[in-house]
Amino acid sequence: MNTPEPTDADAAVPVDISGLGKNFGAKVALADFSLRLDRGQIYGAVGANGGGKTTALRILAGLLPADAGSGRVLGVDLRAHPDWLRARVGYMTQHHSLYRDLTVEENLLARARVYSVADPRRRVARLLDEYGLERFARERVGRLSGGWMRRVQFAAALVPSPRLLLLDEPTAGLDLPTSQQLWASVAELAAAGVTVLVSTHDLSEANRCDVIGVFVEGEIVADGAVEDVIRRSAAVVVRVPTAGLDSASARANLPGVAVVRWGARQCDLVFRGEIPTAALRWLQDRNLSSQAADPTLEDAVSVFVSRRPLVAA
Amino acid sequence: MNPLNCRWHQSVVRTLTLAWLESLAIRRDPVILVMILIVPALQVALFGYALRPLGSAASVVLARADKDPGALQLLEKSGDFRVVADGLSEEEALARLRRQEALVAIVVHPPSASTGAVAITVYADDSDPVRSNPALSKLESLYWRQVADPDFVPQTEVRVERLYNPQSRNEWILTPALSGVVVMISMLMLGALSIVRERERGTWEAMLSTPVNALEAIVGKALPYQLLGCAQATLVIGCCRVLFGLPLRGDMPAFGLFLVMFIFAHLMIGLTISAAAGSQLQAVQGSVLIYLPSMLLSGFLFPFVNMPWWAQRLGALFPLTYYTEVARGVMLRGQDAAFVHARTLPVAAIAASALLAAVMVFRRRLP
Repeated sequence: MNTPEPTDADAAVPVDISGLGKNFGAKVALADFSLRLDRGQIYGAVGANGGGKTTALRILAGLLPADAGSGRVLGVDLRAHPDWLRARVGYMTQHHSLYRDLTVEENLLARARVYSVADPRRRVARLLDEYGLERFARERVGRLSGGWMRRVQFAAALVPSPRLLLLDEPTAGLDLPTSQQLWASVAELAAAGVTVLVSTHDLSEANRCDVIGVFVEGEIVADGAVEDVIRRSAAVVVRVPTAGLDSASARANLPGVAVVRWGARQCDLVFRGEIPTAALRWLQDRNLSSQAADPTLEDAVSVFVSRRPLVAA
Repeated sequence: MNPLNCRWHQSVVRTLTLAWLESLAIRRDPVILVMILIVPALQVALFGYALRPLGSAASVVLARADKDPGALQLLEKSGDFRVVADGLSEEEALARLRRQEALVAIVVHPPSASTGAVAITVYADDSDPVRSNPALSKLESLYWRQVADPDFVPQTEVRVERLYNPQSRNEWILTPALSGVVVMISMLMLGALSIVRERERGTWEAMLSTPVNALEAIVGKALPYQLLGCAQATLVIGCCRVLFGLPLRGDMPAFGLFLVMFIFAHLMIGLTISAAAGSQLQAVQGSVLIYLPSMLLSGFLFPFVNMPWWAQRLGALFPLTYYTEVARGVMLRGQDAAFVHARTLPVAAIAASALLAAVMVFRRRLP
């Protein structure tokens, strides 16, 4: 029987993993995932659906066993002691995961008891207070709005006072103010030394992270600070007016284009690497005036997701 | 086009589209297809061979001073009876009946000193009339065949005593085992839907991410249902007692312990199904897979002893088989604790195996 090795949940490097992999049958859900995070860092896992973000979070939460790789989370061997990790990592699932027939307070209290929190009622009272949930304490969760439900779910993930917090698309479906409040809470927690991993589709949220990783079909195709990821994508953006341009035709015939992002009056043509001469000629033939634009993280991720090889100029 | 026809046409198209969507969902769930199409075919074949409603030779014990081989031959030659013991005392013969080692006891009393007439008492275990009635009919027809024999000397007085349900009350025939069927179905369904429902609602993943382990989760889920099951069983048996005057003659504390184990076993089987099922529909179908053979192979509807040996072995895997024996034994025949405990052990073994299976399946299943 495995007994947890002596460890320190306040480890200076809460996440230090290398080459983690997970397959579901023939499908590669996650391959060669390596990450090192210091205390208080916020890591954003971005990318398309099915990229492996949720699988990565589930492995770190001790929910799924990794098929490959190794590493330490909160100072303990990830693959040897998932039970130990589950007792110390805060995990907020992608979907609503609260008991709808129970009140907010009952949901939190149940969690506190499951985590063997020393004084469950006191802990719950504090969380209700910190996240403005007191007025809903005796309200059934099923009667709350989606935003409040998500906020309760966030508070539930914090019940064990985790040093590592894993949030799977925490702001999905939330309005802007609720989303901003949640990110403010994440920032406060990070400032207090909690390491946070967030998966998100909203690339504007990635700018709030210290480090991001771009997940594409189970692989981390780029990671680092947002600016580094944009630079490494080699995305080049050309903005052209939409008049006289057909999206399908552009996507099919414009040489080397990775993504065509259609707007009301103008559209961005995103290339990986330099713009091929043939593409410039294609635009000139259609009398389309073009101007260069700064690539955004969205452009960078689009380039990674499109998987177009670098095109020679 | 006529607008009425058009509306009718659109309605039909919408209906057919929904039917198409539903059929796609069914076609893409191979487990449901197997459960709906293949399992019933197998069950019909299985039950067709296993169940023998017409019965086989009835077991008989003879209590008499002399061991006249003529009577023995007469009974066995008929093909309807199998004499399992001869020359017993009346008390020994009745004890064997209570222990269900024989269905009929024929007691031949000593001849009357004054008239020389022989009195015979036939005792039948009427706690399961599905078995005892045909046996008594065959015995009666055998008697009348003897009467028709010109050499027969009518110096015999025959008396038939139906034991344990002397008034042949219909309610007493069905309700002892029926109480177990009711509890079994409830517990199976509650167990089978519990985990899969949480998985569909999304609460299960969050629970799995906590320190809760498989055993804690399974037992924790089962506990409230266990209490509910005990309350339900008490209510059902109480109703049988109050409404039908069902006698509770045997060792009730031992029966109570048996009930606890019986309920736990079905909850564990249900939770195993729930941990393995991908949807609530699969869980319900999985429960049917358990309770249908339970009802047919347990002796609840058809006599257990009439089934071939392999079907009896199969029936022994279902807790309801033991419940049927124990309920009839305790409620009607006044069986003691030893009888009940001997049947509590296999049910406990089934419960423990199901608990182990539930824990193992639970560990392998993530949302």
